[in-house]
Amino acid sequence: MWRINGVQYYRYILLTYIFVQIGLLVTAGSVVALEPFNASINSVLPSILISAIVITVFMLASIVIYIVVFQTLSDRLDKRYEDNHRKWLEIWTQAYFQKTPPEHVEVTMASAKTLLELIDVLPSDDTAILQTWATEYGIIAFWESRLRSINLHQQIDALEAFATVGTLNHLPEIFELARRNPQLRSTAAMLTISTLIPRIPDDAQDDNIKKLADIIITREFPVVTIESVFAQLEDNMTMLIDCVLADERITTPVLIATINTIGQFYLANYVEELGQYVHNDDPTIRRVTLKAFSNLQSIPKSSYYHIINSIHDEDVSVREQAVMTLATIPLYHSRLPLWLALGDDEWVVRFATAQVLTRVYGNRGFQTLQIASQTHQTEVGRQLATEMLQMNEAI
Amino acid sequence: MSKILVVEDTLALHVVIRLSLESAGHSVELVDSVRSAIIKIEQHEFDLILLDYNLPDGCGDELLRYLDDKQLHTIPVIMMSGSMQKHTISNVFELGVKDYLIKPIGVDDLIYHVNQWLPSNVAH
Repeated sequence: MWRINGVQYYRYILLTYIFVQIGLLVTAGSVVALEPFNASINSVLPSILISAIVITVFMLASIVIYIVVFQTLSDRLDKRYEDNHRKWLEIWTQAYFQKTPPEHVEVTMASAKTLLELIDVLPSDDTAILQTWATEYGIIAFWESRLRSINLHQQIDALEAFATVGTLNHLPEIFELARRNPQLRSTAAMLTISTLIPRIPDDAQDDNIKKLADIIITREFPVVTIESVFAQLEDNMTMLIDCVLADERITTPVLIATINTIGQFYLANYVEELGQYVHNDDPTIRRVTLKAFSNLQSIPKSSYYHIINSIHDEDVSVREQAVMTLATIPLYHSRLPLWLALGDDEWVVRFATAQVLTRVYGNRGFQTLQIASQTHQTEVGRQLATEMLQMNEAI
Repeated sequence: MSKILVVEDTLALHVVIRLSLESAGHSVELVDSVRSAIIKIEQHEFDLILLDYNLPDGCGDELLRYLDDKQLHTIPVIMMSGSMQKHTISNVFELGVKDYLIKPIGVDDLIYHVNQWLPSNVAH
């Protein structure tokens, strides 16, 4: 915190210096401009210039002194904090091993943070005693006061702390913070909520998932942040997926994150939904859907049609992804679409096709390329097949 | 008393692992990077290495390759990681790791696995 404040003060000093200098230059400029109308003003000019030089020297000296003092103080504070941090880590861990609480706990940042660090590295089943101490010794109250602080960094620290401690009492407050700006705090709050939801009793989960879905949809979070939320929900992930997919207000980033999650976590129950999004108006949605299909590893036969059809998509990146997704289905079904894609107008699609044939299907792929080099209906297809075969022979 | 090298960069885990292993009667050396682990291995002999997969200056498998180059296969290595990815696990086993512990690791589990792979116990 002192480092953040110190850098801010440094900025203020520098800005003051710049403004004073600009002020002096404007004054000096005005004096020079007024000189033809008032000769007496000429005598003021040297004193203004001397003042500018004196102030410059003073400001530069003060900045240097400030940096030296700030660094020295910061290093000392860092060292003191580090020593305290090690001391408290040792105290809490010793107490944990002996199953006896420490005799005297002074609630400071070091003691509060180290208790959380210990909770974080131990399996959750083993941390009940530490959670009890966190409440008894006022560590929870310490983070609670920071959660209500007006300082953004303190609030974010507190949100991370509650994600680790896992107490649910502050969930309504955290939901409130997730709904409000700034985005940084809102993101931290949302990630904390997604960590806490799996710990909520089953009967209260539905309501909280709905609230979380509302926040995800109504606020603009980046795709990766939304994906992190899904991932942290663990077994409750599908509840959130159902909620957002059923919401008519669903935004493109939320839909992309949802589709990516379906693929990354092999959620094969959603193949029907994927089949629907592969025809979406947005090419990015179509592309990520095809990628999700390929991540599913075992694609049901009923979905082959969607993938095969995508090699005729108007968007080149969608066609390229379609070719790569075709690699995940048996050659018996993918041979014809791959044959067609070998003659695609775009080189990138043709090359991806040749790569899929040689790298994924091995000998059978090479056989297809040999036939294509002689009989493919397009010249570009025949040419690429020949080149790929020659390249392979050279290797 | 067995001598164990712990390569881990999380301070809280340092303390937990040290106290756990010391309570089980082992002597522990702690380092927080691949580089400092190599220096320690060059200076001392260890009965077992407890190795974190993600370290500030590289992956745990870099140390495994070093051990392989120096013909130090006799030192059993237990890998610790939060990752449950199949390819990470199979990759480190191919490099000679004896055991793979998924974080967070309980104290009893840690002692059990370490004792299991100590050369004195394996010989029996």
